[in-house]
Amino acid sequence: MARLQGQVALVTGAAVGLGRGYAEALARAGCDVVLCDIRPEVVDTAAALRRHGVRAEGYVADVANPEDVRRVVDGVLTGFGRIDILIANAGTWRGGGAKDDLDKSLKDYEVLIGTNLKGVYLFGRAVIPVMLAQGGGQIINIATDHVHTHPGRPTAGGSGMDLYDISKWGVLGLTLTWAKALADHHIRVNSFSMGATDSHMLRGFHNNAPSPEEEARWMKPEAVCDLAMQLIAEGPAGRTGENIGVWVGFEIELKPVPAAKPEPAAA
Amino acid sequence: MAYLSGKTAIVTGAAQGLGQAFAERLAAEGAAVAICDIQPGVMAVGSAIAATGADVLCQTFDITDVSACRSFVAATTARFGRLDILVNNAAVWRSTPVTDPWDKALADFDAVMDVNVKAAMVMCRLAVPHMIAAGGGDIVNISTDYVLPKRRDGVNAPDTDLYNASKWALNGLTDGGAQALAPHNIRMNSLCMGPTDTEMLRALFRPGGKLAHLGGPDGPPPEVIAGFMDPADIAGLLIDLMKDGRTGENIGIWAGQTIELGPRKRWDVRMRERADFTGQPLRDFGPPPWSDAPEPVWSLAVGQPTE
Repeated sequence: MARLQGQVALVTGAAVGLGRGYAEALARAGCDVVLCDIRPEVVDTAAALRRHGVRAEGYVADVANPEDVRRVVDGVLTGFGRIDILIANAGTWRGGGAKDDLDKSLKDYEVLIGTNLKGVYLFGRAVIPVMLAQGGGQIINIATDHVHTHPGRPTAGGSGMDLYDISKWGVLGLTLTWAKALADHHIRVNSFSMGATDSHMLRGFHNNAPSPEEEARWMKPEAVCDLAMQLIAEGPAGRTGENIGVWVGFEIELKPVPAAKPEPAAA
Repeated sequence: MAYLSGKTAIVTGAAQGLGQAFAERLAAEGAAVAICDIQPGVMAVGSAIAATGADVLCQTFDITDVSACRSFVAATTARFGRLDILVNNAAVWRSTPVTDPWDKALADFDAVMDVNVKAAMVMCRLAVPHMIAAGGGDIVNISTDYVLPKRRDGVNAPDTDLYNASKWALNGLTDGGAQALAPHNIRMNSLCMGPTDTEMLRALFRPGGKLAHLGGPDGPPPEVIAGFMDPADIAGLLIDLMKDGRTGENIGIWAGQTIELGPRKRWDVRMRERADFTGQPLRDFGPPPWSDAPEPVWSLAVGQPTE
């Protein structure tokens, strides 16, 4: 079912893992896809998606580097002429916390805020003018369940991830603001606050040797990618400004948007 | 003996407004205070506090200069022998519409994040070892009421994405830091306040400011100022917060409401109140739970007077 035919999607961090999953799901729906990643294999990942009969291109780019971001977005415009969907998925992880040495923290800050927050910001800021000119679009930013936990779980990734959490809370701030700023322009902005999903990053976190029990807990990337497709399928009238919790042990689903509250009765 | 005698406090961004009020109150409670600001006016603030008999150390530097932060903390501990309290107050506000040119967008990211987030992180990292050595401490980050969307929609204004993101980002610092430092008797909280009578806010009402159409050459008119909270009251709350001893909380302080700590929040809801709005239609956030609360007569969100 090719329901996104004629649309163009840009997915960051798409060489492997979840990013590749989003790109694959989009391509299967008939969407032309542009992938970028700091990993050179992104070019091959993109080439493999052409089997779905869509145009696909891969860019080797560091999302934290403004020149790289410009090159990718300008390249998409030259090659495809439009950008309908942006999935700002590129993210990285480093441990550390309040008792870290400052020099270590400064290095971690550059990497985590650079990739996870500045990368989202740069791609959003580069793509939003394009979407405004087109008259609409969709942006999905990928955050973490540390900033939107399932009921009963405290926020934060424990005591040793404050910089990672800073970057992801910042993403939430961007999502909320962009949604509000762009609501009248048919540009929808949402984020996923995702728990443990079988992704390249999480495998790396477990030294690429997770225990079978650990692995069995993880959410399947297919389910998360399907959720993204459902969100996109809502179309221009769909929800915006929502930070969608995607949690281990819970249904992976879009909750209905609550009905608007009635106007208070005039006195 | 005063509550804080023998203790040392650092307040950043203390040349005016809230930072000045925090420094004055901490000194009045008996603490030795080390204050800094990029604006030289901080020296006069320091002199005035010293004139009350308090111990003051005062430096003018840019808080984004990491080596200057290092030497400031080193000078503080060298002079006073310890560090117990850190108030991360220095912040900048910038209008950053999403349609800005690319070069401005790039410059704004660093300008806002380096002061509001990175400098707060740097000061925490520098202060923590001294607080551990002192047997405990208090870190207070200054945030905004928009990150407590129980009352707001989570957004300051649609054209301040970076400011909003920077204040949301502080949640990560407070939340993770509180958990990491609790075993060391160090508490970390955020004060999340609405419009307070500070220079940062008044400047918006002056010519060239975002709300200039509501103000005049002297800034906001008296009826608008009357709706602002008094920095001295917020500084009083800071003292209450330290006496209370809670950690890892966002303390909401809303104009028109009593300025008070409120009951301690449950451990699993300290930061996650924003989940309350998740899923609500964006443009129908609905009235705040305190519908008797007078809203400000102006709104940053649209820059126009509202009903």
